Amino acid sequence: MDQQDAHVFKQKIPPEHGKMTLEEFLQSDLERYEYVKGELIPMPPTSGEHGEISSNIQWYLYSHVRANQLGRVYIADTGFQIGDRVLMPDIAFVSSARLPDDRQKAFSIPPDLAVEVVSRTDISHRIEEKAFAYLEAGTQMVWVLKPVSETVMVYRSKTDIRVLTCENTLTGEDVIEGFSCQVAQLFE
Amino acid sequence: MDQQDAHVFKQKIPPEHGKMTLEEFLQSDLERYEYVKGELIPMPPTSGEHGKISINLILPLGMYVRQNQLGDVYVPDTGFQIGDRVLMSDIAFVSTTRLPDDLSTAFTIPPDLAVEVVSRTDILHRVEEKAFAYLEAGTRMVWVLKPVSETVMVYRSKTDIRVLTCEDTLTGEDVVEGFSCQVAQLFE
Repeated sequence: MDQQDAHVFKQKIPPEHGKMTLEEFLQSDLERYEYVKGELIPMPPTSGEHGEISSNIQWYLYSHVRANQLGRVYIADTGFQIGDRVLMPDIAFVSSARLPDDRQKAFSIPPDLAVEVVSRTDISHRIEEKAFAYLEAGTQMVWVLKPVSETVMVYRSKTDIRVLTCENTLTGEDVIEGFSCQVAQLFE
Repeated sequence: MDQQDAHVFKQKIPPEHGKMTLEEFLQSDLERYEYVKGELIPMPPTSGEHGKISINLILPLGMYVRQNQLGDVYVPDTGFQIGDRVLMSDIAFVSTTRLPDDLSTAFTIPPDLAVEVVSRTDILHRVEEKAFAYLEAGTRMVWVLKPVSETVMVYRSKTDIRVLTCEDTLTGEDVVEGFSCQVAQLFE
């Protein structure tokens, strides 16, 4: 009984020194942590504003993806192994063709689309490092939603980065074909 | 003598509670602090990378502005009163026609162009809030240089925001007329 408790305890609380191997992390039951190059990055609870925006984009994406049977849409706590990181995008899309049969563990493939909603405490450099980590791992498109400017940054490659403002339309391009929504609607 | 020392001391060290009125702040000799809505925001020394990028822009911009007698270019510790804030942009340009006669105190006018180089610790929300604070106060253009993606964000208004990547050319548009440089050169 003591041993079992100790076992559960070990998995739910990160080690004091905050370091684990990628293997150890993937086998743990740690929740709300990302894993970046050996470090555990806590994901604190997000704000109401952040939740509203995430929920908006998720709803539009989900409706389109479901209706057209394009694949699956995932929400914030789904882990993706991205190179030497395990990341939890706020929203992710994986196309039907790429969905692994075994979905009992964190995905070992990158999503086709990763979406990050910037929160009050997010460091600018980390957001960009994350966007490029996805692209390098094979993610086709990354959207970064910025509540202060009410804009969406679309990252496709190092030389294909765009800003969409509240007058523009966000589209799924060749990643989620046929998808579009007004940027302004995301921040309502 | 004691009194004089106390006086100097009072001005160089922020009050313990970190609060001052705008007037008190403007009259103090506090260095390396920005003032945002009653709060003092320390500006820690920046990295070598940050310094290198700043100088890559200051040199060509400063030279161009000098040669064409368009105005003055300022470096990081120059304060600008922007609404209820006192901000120190990494680089600022003030056109000749707008230059005040008295340059012995912090500017009470916004610069025509404000430039921020994003550093390792910058919170993304704050960078954007600052960009909009400049625009609202009358700054005509804000450039935000992002070292991770090696891009420049150009902010002109809420609906005119662009990204320039390493394949693009940064231009002074109608603010620093005739100025241009390769984005890639800024991050060399």
